[in-house]
Amino acid sequence: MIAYVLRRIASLVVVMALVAMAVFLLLRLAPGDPTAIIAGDNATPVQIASVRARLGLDDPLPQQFYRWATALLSGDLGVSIFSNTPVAELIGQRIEPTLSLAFATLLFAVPVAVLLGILAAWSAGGVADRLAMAISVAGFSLPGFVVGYFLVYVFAIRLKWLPVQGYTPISQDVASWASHLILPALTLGLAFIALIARMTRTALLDVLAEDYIRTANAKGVSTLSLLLKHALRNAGVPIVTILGIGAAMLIGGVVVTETVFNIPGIGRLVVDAILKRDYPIIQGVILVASGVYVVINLLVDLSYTLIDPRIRS
Amino acid sequence: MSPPLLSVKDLKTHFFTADGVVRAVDGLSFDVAAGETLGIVGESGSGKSVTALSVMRLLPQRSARTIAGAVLFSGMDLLKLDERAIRDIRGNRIAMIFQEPMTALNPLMRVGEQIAEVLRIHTGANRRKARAAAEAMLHLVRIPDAEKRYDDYPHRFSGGMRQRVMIAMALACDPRLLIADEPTTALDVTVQAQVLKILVQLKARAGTAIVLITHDLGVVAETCQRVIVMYAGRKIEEAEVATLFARPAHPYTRGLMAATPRADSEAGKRLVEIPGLVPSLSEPIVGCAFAPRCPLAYDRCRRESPVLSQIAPGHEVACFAADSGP
Amino acid sequence: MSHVLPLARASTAHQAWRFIRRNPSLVGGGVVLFAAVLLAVAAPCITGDPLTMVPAQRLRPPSPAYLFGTDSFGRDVLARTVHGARISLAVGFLVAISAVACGLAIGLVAGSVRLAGPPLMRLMDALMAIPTILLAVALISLMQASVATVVIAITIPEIPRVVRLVRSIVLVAREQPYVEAAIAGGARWHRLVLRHILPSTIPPLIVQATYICASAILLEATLSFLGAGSPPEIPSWGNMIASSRLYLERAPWTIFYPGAALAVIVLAINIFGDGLRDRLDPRLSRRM
Repeated sequence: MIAYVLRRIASLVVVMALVAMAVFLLLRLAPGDPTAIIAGDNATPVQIASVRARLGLDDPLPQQFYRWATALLSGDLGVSIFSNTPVAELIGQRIEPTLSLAFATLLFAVPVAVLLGILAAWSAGGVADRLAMAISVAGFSLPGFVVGYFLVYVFAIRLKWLPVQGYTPISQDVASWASHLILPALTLGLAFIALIARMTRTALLDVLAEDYIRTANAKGVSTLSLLLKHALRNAGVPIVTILGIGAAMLIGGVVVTETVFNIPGIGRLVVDAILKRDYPIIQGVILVASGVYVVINLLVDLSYTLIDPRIRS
Repeated sequence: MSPPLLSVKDLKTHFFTADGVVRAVDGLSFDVAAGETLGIVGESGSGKSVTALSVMRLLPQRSARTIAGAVLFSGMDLLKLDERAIRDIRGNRIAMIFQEPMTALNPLMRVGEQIAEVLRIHTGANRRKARAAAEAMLHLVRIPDAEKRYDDYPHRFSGGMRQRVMIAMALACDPRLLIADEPTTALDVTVQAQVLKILVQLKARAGTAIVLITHDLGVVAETCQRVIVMYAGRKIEEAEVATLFARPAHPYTRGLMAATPRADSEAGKRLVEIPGLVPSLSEPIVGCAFAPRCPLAYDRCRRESPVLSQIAPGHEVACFAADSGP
Repeated sequence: MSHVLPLARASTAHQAWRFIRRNPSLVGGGVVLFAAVLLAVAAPCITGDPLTMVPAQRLRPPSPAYLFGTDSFGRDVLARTVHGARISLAVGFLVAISAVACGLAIGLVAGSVRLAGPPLMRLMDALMAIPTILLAVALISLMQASVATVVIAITIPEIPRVVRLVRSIVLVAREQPYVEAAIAGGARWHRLVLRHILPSTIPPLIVQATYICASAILLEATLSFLGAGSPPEIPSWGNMIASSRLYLERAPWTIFYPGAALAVIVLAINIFGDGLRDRLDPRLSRRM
């Protein structure tokens, strides 16, 4: 068991190291002259050279890598070209709105998704199933910004039930904080629900076809107990896996959602960085986001040992 | 004569598939007396397992349905009961064990818990009592170290032990009838003997009636009192065990006997196989289902479907050839 | 249930009808997709000019003259929407083909060359750890803005999943008795791969390609929306919506027509992919 945990952590370290290397190489291996592009269309050669120097691209490659690696290990994610502030600091400033959004989304989306999947599996082929699967396909196919604007148009502009956009810190006004997060959470959550509901249904259907479910039926176990106590736990591993993947999806979806709803989080930070071609910010966010993804996956892997006793031994 | 414990009357179960309707059980009737062991013998596809599932109402709902017949148990027609009522009976008054012990237990639930569960559902026992009773059952099926093993997960048990756990689970609530669908087929021969022995002992202890479904005539000879032989969804012969082995009447039964290796047969003698294949059950069968493979078939067999008739007390056969002569 | 009738072959119309009934997803999605491709190809001939700005006609609601209305620059939304399909479909197809081709190549190597396998897969894991949008954004910000850049930036994040799929197929195939026997008999590995293993990768890859196409179209639209995608001169549904953000209240048609087009296309492709999967790779399709 300990061995399993240690192996997973070692795997995490390796992947993160590779991500760091990939990000490092990205800038240095891009075709053409990325510094010219970053400096902008109207940059003079002097400005381009200055950008090169700031990005540390003048030094020999091994030295660059050494500096890069040591900086990362001490938490230094580089410095923004435009604001001259450390990227880590910028991320720290913007993290609360993003975390709030993610939290609100998961809070409602996980139960809804799993329940929808259970319902679909239980009804298997019936009306509830088809409806759930139709919602799922729609959720996959609608891009976040279209859903977002649609919700804003209906609920904020026409019905005026909710604010159009913006964000209120929780320390300021909890009610306002919550009401500003409802539509964004719905938007971000739709694709998540689409994915999770579908996979939950699949995992449950697989389990329900197993022999031990037939045995439980032959014992006279009630339908509810069958679904929840017997089937769901056995579907736990694939469901938790897909929850991990879904959470990772949220990381990407945050970018669009924050743009649509004007939430000053990390997603907006990235978008602004795109427009200003502030590459160090993009780089820093990639490292943080990948780190979060990898940690989530580690937690998922570790949770397997809680769910399935066979994995422990 | 007391009424039979279980009385199956003209049972018809059909499977509805994309390629047509499969008549898996096509008009089957039999009785099981209290405390007796009835064997149901037949090849794969003869309908024996489907019969068991039909009695327990465990058929896959989307594709199969019992479309006719009655299953009388303690004065109730099981086919007409609502979900709640049938769940009350399952695991409680009628229990079932299945063929594949390796996959029949919930891998994520402790073994003792799975037995205790059936006790809690049907007897309303609390956790402590249920656990004690479950441990007693494990002891009864000769699982060594029952108290410790209670908390183990199924993957720590061998196939034979898992089947014994299944038996413990099935008999925990002292059912009047146990349906055993090929309980030893998936086990090694030595383990088979152990499991059968336990089954017989427990049955003697509690007076449980058993319907033992199998394709293995050896098992039938050892454990059953009466036997019915099924073919293509119908009963084609029924007799007491001794009679069936001494004087098999139906050509199919004779074929099965001849194909079974026996300890007392001459060395070097070839096993005789029954030529041909089981007929497809998705087309209506005209005449006797066995006719295409039968050495005694004549044109009446191909035109008419034989009905069951008594050729001796307690011995029924559905065959025109058997009727008329030895 | 119908009985199998031993008659002469049913008429073509009857066969076609039966095919439609048995494969509703495939046919439904396929028809919409086909129509979209036709519209996209014929766009310059059937609609007006997507680029002409007519300031006098800014933000006009849908009318007989402008079926989808006009945007903030007075451009014809209908024309821009139909032209937007060209970018979306072009990017979608190009990405799908490239990702599958690269993924196939890398996956075959990862599955065949024993030493290369694990390191390549670790690399794929690392690429998959980076959220797709962020990776695409990073790639785009390093290259000259163009459609080719967008295609490359979207293809690269899609490659790891294809590699995983191909490699797992190769690994499974390697264990097959007939392959072991062939190797023992002296067959060269690359022959084996070409003749035996490659064909079994095709059906799941085709299914995967359709899903990648849908995903790529969504991603292109998202990138354009964020300002990191197709150059603004080329009408793309994403940048159409981006440039109309401020007019959600005044002129919702500028946002919802391209949005609907996007939704319809991606939905059609996903449904088509489901239908393909049911036919080509029943292993993947779940019991109903």
